[in-house]
Amino acid sequence: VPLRADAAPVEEPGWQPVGLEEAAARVESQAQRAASEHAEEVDAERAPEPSGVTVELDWNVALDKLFEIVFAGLAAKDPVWEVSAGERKGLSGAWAAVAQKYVKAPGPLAQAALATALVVVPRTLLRKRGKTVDVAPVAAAGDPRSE
Amino acid sequence: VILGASESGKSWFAKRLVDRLSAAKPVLVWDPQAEWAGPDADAGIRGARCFAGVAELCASLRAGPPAPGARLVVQSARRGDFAALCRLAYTAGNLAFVVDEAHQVLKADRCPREAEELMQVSRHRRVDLVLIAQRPTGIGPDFRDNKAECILFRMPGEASLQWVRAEFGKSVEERLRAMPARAWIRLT
Repeated sequence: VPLRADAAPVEEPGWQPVGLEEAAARVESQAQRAASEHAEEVDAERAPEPSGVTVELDWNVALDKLFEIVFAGLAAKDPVWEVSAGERKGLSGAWAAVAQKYVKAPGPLAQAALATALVVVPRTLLRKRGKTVDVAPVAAAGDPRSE
Repeated sequence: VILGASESGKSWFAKRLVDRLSAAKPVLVWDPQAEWAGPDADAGIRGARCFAGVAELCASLRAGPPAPGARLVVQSARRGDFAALCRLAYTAGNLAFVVDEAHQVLKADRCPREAEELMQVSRHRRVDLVLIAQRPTGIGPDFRDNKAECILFRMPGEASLQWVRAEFGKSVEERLRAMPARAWIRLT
């Protein structure tokens, strides 16, 4: 069945479907460039800036879900950490939203919390389609909460 | 637009939907997780041909026309491949284009220009777009809000549920909150 049987298409003036063979001929050079030049892979979220600790992540598990699990654990231990607005700007949206929900810590502590979260991710989540992500060091100087 | 958390059943639903699509139109599938066809597929779609990238797909298409209603699955995770596949759909017209894991490639701030252009003319060029994502906030509003039909599976996160409430009303949100896995709500 058509997906939209109730919605008759409004033709674009002057346009005719050309078929996939003809379209392939027109697009092939872009596709070849895509294969050779734009090799950046899609990812669920942006990774933190590279630094010290290496963690294997299962990209089949949505990262925000992953963080939700881990931050829920952190929050149960210490519910007073908070991510500042400035810190959120440095994180991708989904990560920041989850971090903000569960972790209250200014500045570097938020990074430390993220790093801690990655380090303590259960091994069961770290299988299949493993990719390596470098995250910030866990240590946040002088603050016992980073332990 | 098909929305739902991991393991909610949305992928299975989408595959069966594609199996039921008319054979009058070819179907392009963006499958970055290699789950729609091939050895790693779980309940994959019928009659699929897999390609590791759009260059490989184009080479195959140029060698000979696809069968009517062909299911052509591109299993790549390269952003450039997604842009090229959007351009192929835009140029060819008269097909169905399925984008799995759409939240990875159709975010408002990281969406390729080719996808935006395809969205703008999809109806005029008879392109049926099927977007599959884990949450409504993961895809740009141009794609999310121009839907003709929405299938909702269980979704985590207050932001997603708030979007459902704003879009479809409190009763739908409440039904969604209470819904088990593998159940869905269809809204037109």
